[in-house]
Amino acid sequence: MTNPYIPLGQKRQMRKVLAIIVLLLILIISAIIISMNVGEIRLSPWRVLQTFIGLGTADESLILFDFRLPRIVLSVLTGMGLAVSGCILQGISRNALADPGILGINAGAGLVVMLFIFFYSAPTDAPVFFLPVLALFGAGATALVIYTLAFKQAEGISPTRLVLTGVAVQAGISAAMIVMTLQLSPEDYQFVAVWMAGSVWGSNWSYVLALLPWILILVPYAMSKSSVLNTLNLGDMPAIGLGASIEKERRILLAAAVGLAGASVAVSGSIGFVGLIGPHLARQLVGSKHQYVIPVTALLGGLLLVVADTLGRWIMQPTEIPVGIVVAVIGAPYFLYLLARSRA
Amino acid sequence: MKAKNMTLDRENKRSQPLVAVIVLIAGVIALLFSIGFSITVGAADIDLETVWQAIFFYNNDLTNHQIIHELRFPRVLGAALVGAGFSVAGSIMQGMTRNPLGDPGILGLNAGATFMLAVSFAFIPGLSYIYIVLFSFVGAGIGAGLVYGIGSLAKGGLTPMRLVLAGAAVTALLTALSEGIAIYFHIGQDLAYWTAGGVSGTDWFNLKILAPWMFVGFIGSILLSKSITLLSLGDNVAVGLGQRTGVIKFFGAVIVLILAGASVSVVGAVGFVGLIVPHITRYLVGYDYRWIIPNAIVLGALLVVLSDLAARNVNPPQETPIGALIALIGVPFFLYLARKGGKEL
Amino acid sequence: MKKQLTFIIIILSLLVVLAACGDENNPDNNTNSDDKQENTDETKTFAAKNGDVEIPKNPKNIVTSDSYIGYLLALGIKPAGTSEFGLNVPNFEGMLDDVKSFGDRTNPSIEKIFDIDPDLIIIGSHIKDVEQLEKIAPVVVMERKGYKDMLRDFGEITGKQDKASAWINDWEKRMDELKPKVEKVIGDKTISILSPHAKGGVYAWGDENGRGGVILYKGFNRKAPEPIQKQLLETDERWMDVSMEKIPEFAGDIILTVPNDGDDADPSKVYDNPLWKDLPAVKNDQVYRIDDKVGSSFSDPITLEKRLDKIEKQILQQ
Repeated sequence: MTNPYIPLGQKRQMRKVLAIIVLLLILIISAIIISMNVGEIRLSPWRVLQTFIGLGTADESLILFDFRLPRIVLSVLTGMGLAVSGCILQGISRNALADPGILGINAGAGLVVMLFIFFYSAPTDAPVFFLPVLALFGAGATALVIYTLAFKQAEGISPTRLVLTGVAVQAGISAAMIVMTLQLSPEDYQFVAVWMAGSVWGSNWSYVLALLPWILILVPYAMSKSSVLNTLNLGDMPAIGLGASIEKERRILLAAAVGLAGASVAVSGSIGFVGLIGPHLARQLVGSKHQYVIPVTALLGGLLLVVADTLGRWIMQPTEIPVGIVVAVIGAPYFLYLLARSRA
Repeated sequence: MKAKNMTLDRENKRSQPLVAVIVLIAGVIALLFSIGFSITVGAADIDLETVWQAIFFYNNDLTNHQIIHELRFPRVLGAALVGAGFSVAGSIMQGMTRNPLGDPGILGLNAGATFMLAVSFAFIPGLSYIYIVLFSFVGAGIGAGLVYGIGSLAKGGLTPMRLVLAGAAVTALLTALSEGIAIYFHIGQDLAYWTAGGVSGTDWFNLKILAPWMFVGFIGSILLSKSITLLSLGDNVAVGLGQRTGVIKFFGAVIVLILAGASVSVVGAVGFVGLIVPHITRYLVGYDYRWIIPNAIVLGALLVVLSDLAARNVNPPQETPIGALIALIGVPFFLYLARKGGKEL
Repeated sequence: MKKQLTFIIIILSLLVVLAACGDENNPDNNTNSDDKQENTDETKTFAAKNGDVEIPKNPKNIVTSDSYIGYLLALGIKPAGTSEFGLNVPNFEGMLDDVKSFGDRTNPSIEKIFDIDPDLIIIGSHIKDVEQLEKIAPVVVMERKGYKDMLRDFGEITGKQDKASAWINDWEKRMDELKPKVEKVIGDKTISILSPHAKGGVYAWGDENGRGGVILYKGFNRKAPEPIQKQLLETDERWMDVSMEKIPEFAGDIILTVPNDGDDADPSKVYDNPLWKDLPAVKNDQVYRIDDKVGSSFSDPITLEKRLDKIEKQILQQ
C-alpha cells in the first residue's frame, strides 16, 4: 500500500512534523485559554467557556469578545507574521541570525510614528487606522533604503552587508529620533515610548481584519516557495547551478518578508526577536526543510507572543508591560545563547 | 582565508612615519586652533578681546569672564578628552580583534550606561552628577563585559560579525529593560536628555576626576602599541614573534574600558567616534599602532571639539545633541565600510 | 512573479484602508454604551473634540486623564478612576482616597476601566484605543483650552455650571485682592520660571505650561526677561532648553525654580556654578522654589490654588 515514490524516512519525518504541529496547536489553544482568564476582572474558566458558547452575561461577553479575544488573536497573528518573516530572511540571507528588526522595519515604523506625533501632536486626532498605515509605510520605505544601500550591481546582496547596512541605517534613525524626543511634551513622549516598546496597539477586531489577509496570503505564499528557499539555503553557487534566478527570487521573497513584518509591526508596535527565535526553534524541532519549518515557525511565533502578552498584562497589574519588552527580555538571552554556541 | 587576505593587505601597506609626524603636527595645530575658536564662539556673544582678557587677566566679577572660564574652557577640554578617549579605545579594539567595525557604541557600552542610568534615576532620586557619572561608567562596563564575554565564549572566538551581533542583542536587551523602567517610572524623556550626548555639563570638578584616568589610559595604550601592531597581524604571528597574547589582550581590554567608559559617562551615548577616527588615522599613517595611537588622540579630540562647536551653534541657545551630529558623519561612513568591507568580514 | 506579488501587496494595502472605512460605519460598536446609558435617567449632548457625544446628564462615576483631576475636584466631584501618575500628584494629596488606578497615562488597562464601571470617560488626546473605551461608557476627548474655559466645559459636562462660575469668580477676586501687593513687591521687576537640570542648563517656561506662568505672566501681567518675553510669551512655544551660557540673559530679577517632572537627578551642577551664584537674583536672595514635582505641567484649579498659596507665602510675604 505504501506509495513507492515517497521514501520511508521522509514519511517518518512527516509524521513527526505532524505530531509537532498538533502539539503546538494544543499549546497555543491552552495558552489562549489561560490568556482569556488573565485580566483585571476575574472570569472563571467555566464562565469563559459558557460565555464562549453564548451563555454569558452581556458584560462577560463584552470582556471576552471585545476586550480579550481580539487582542489575543492579534498577538497570535503578529507572532506568526514576524516569525515567518524572520524565517524567510534567514533563508534568503543564509544568515541564521537575521531578523526583521535588522531590516530596519521596527526603526522605520517608529520613526514615522515619531514624526507624526512631532508634527501633529495628538494621536487621537487622527483616524484610527492612520497610524498603522503610516507605520507600514515607514517600515517598507526603510527596508527599501537598506536593500538599495546594500545592493551591489556585480554581486547582488551579500548577507553580511545587509546586516551591517541595517545596523548603520538604524543608528542613523535612532539619532534622528533622539533629536525629536527632546522636543516632545511629556505626554507625547510617553505615548511614543509605549508605542516603541511594542504594545499591542489596537485591540479591535478591525485590526485583526486588517492583519489577517497579510498572514493568510503571505504565509502560504512563503510555504509554496519552500523549495526555492531550500535551494537558496545551499548557497549562491549551487543555486545558480540549479538554474534558479536567485536575485529575482530573493527580491520577491524579501518583499514578502517585509510585508509580513511591516503589517505586524504596524498594528502591534515595535517587537523584536520573534523573527529570530521562532525559526531557530523550528529548525531544531523539524530540521531545515522549509516545507516543515515555515508552518512550525508560524505556530511557535504565535505561541511566543500570546505567552509574552499574557505575562505583560499580568506581572504589574494594572500597568501593562508592553509585549515588546517582555519578548526582548526572553529573546535577547536566547539569541546570545545561540550566538555563543554558533561556529565561526 | 579571509583573514589572510587582510594580513597581506596590511603587510603591503607599511607604516609611514614621515606622514605620521606631519599629520601629528598638523593635527595638534588644528586642534589648538579649534579649541581657541571654540572658546570664542558660543550662545552668548562675547568679543575676542574679552575672551583674551578672560584667559590672561581673569576677573571673577565679570559674567563674560566667568562664561569663558567656568563653562567654555572645561567643556572644550572635556570634548577633547572624550574624543581622544573614544578614538584610542576604538583603535585598540579594532587592532586587537582585527575587527574593522570595533566601536565602543556598537559594543553595548552606551546601552549599558543608559540601563544603569535608568536604574539609578528610578530607584535613587536626587542623585548628584558625580554619581551619575559613576553609574554610567559601571553600566558601560557591564554592557561591554556582556558583549565581549558572550562573543568570546563562542567557538572560533570573536569574529567581527559576531561582535556586532552580540552588541546588537545586548543593546536590545538592555534597551528593553531601560524602556520598561522608563515607562513605568516616567523617566523616559529625562533619560533621553542624558543619553542624547553632550559635553555641556563638564566643569573643572569633572575634569579633575576624569583627566588622571584618561591620561593613564593614553600612556598605557602607547606602551601597548607595539604589541597591538603585532596582534593586528593575527594571533599566530604575534605568538610566533614571542608575544604573550593573553596578557596583552587583558591589558588592552582594561584600557578600552577605562577610556570608553569614562568618555561615555561624561558625554552620553555618542557612537561612531571610535569607529571613524581609527579608520582615517590608519588610512593616513599606515598600520603601525605606535603611530596610530598618538594620531588618533589628536584627530579624535579634533573631531569632538568641532562637533561640540557645531552642537552649540546650530540652534542656540538650545544645544543640539552631539551624538546626532556625529551620526550625520558616522552613518554614511559605516555604510561605506559595509559596502567596501562586506566581503572580507 | 514579481508583478503578481506587487499586485498582491497593493490589494492588501487597499484592504487595510477598506477595513478602516468599513469599521467607522459599523453601528454595532455602540450597542453596549447604549445599555449603559439606560441606567442613568437622562442624557445630554456635549460638543467635544471627538464630535458630539451623548453623555449622562449628571455623571457620577467619572474616569479621567490625570490632567483633568483638578477640574473635577474643584467642582466637588471625586473621580472614580485615573492614572497611576495622577494618584501620585502631591497637590492632590488627601483628595483622591479610594480613587482607582487604571495604569499608564497613555496606555490604560481597558479592563480596569471596565471594572471601575464609569458612566463617563474624559481623556486628553494621548490615550490610545478610544474605540474600546467607547464600549464601556461615553468618551469625551477634551480640547486644549485655557483653565477658565476648560473649567466652564467641565461645568457643562457635569451639570455644575454654577459651581464652575463660582470658582472663577472667587479666583478672580482673590487675584484682584493680591494685585496691589504684587504691584508693591514685584512691580517692574522681571520674573523667570526656570528648571535647572542636572546636566547643566535650565528649561525656561512660558505662560502656558503650568509651573506658575499662568498666574504670574497671564494673571498678574508681570514681565519676563527679554529673551523669554520674545521667544516664549510672544510665540506659541511653551518652553525651551537654555544652555548655561545664556542663563544670565534668561534670569530675571526674581527667579522661580520648578523641578521638572521625572527629573530626579540633583541639579546642584547649576546651583553650584559661579555663573549662577553671581546672578543678581541669587545675590539678592530672590530665588524661590515651587516644588510641584509630579504634575508641574498641570494648570487646573486645585493646582493653581496651591501654586498661588506658595507664591503668596514665599514671594509676596516680605
